[in-house]
Amino acid sequence: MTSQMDTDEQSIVLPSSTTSGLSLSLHPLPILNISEHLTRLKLQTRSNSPFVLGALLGTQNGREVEIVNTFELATEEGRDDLVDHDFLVSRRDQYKQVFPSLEFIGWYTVASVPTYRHIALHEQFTGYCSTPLLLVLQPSTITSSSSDITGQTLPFKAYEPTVEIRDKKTRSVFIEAPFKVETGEAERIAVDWTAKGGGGSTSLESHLQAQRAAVKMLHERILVLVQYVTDVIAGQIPTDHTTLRSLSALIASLPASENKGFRDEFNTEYEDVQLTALLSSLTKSTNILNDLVDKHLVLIGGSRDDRTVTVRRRGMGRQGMMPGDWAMHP
Amino acid sequence: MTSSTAFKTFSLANDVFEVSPQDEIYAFDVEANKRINREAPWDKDPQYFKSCKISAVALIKMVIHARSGVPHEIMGLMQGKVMGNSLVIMDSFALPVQGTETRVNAANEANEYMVKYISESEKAKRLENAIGWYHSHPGYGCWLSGIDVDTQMNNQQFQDPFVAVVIDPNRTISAGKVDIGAFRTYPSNYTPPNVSASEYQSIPLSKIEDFGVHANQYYPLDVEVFKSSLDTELLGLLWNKYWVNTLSQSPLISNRAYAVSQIVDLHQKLSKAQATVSSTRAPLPAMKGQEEKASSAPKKEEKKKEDNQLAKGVKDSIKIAAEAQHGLISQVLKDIVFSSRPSQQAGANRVTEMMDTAMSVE
Repeated sequence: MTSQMDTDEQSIVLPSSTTSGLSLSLHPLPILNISEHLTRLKLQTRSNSPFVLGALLGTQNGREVEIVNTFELATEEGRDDLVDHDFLVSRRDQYKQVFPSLEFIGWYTVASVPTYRHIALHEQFTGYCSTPLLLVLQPSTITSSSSDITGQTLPFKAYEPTVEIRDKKTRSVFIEAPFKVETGEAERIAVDWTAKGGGGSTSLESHLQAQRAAVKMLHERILVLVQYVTDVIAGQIPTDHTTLRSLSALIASLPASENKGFRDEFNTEYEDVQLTALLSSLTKSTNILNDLVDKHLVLIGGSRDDRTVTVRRRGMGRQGMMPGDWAMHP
Repeated sequence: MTSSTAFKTFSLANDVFEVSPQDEIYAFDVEANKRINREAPWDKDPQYFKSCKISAVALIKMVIHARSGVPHEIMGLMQGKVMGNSLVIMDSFALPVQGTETRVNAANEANEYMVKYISESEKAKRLENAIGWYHSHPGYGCWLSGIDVDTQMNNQQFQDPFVAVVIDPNRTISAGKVDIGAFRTYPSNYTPPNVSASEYQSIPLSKIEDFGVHANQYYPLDVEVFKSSLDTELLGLLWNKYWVNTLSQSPLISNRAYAVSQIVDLHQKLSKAQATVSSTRAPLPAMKGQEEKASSAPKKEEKKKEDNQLAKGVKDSIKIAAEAQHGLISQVLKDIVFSSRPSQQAGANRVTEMMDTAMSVE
């Protein structure tokens, strides 16, 4: 094989011992955008692995990066490796008009692992951003079924570009960057709602079910931690001091707050909400009472003549039902 | 290896291209689209469209855009196609204008943006045409105002098929579910055969007149959300990550301004109701077996539905209290999980008392 092939076979991704220093947050919207892009292209090109390319929008504050939105990119006619720069610039400016806080921070594609091709594409984006991130959707991991869905992770990987110096040669490589999922409140509600299929009413039951599901997840995670500690004590698993330290820090931070100021505010909020409930019940009772009075009038009005009815009504308007009633009895 | 995994491995190895029926909706058939646009069955029947299907991405983008614009009204366009009696929305994008209820021609300013975006979409393989517009009503519900009705009638005249979608981001957060409505207007010379009583929604006093005057000029479409099979899988996996946010976010705090404005508005409505309470009349009960009353019975049914103002106030107050209770339930749950010491029993008492209140309110 030629030396060209040798370079290709060398991994573009540095081994996992090197970790990126970025703290990366990913929102659900980019995830769903990429999924929709892939589904659409699959149907248009009628193939299982079409070439998908798009841009990432988000914010970058030092080492904290947040990927908030995405848009599709086009490539030059017929060529899969040249990005259509006019399109990129025009779309990016359009998005800037509507969301001024978002910047171009990287690009995405669908592949199982980054290769030389991706380095070539990466070079074309360095003009727009100093270190464009790469977000990859890995299709192969999706189709594998697993019994424990809680253990599965999203089939996405994020990479930060960097330069590796080895054997007196420099080459661009990618380092995998771990990410966590963040959402805004509106985003979470919308994502939740579509996950449940849309429709459905707000009721106490559905709200409680959502809370229960979240608490259940928390409980399962805690069980995993408890299992770990038991195993460590029994000597079955080597102790990892960093994990144990973070566990003890976590436990030390409970109870979450016994601060007097917090308690006061919490109690005030509790009372405010209960007050709202009380007012609502009062309003409901007033309405029921009003209906009752009306119906009573109808019943009475049917068997007496009009004059008595009007007098009775006036009496009731002033004093409420019972006293007026008594006053009218002969 | 089970048969399902064997099948999947086979499909992968042989690159068998398979489309699950759920994903068919994402395919854009150019010929079918041209044909239906030529036939234009909606021209003959003003009530042709019965439902509006929105894709998951389009919906989420619209909700995020609407929330980011609070307290202003924002607007944007949607791209999609017609399928049978339904308008299918595949994607949405925001427009750089802020609509206010007094500006009719907000859309004109964004014309250049719109034209550019849509014509370039083809390069990104997005082939669908513009199929509608959306805008937000922060805090005052999903319906069409007078200006909206005019804009939409104009759209339906020149750009049909076109649908109007309205989103309320404040209600979305406070209720915990997306508050969205899709509407089609009737042409000006058309009167609908029967006006069905629509579901009651609480409208602030300042807007209620605008709502009432134009309410008969348009009708709502059923809104459905669809997603691809890949979306469904990803959403399942996403839950593993964002369950934390379900616990940590609290609508009581984030929507405080809106909740307060709701209570103020209810107060004003109740003051008005106070004046009319003394003149309320109970409906006459229908007598059994009386034939001549049969014809007037449907009219009485409608009168019963037309609640008096106090009853409407009650509905509003129940909604406000229920939503506040939900928020409180989350807060108390968190308090118990994270803040109580094993010896404290006060937490459990609080929960029972709160659940009793919650159930009595609804």
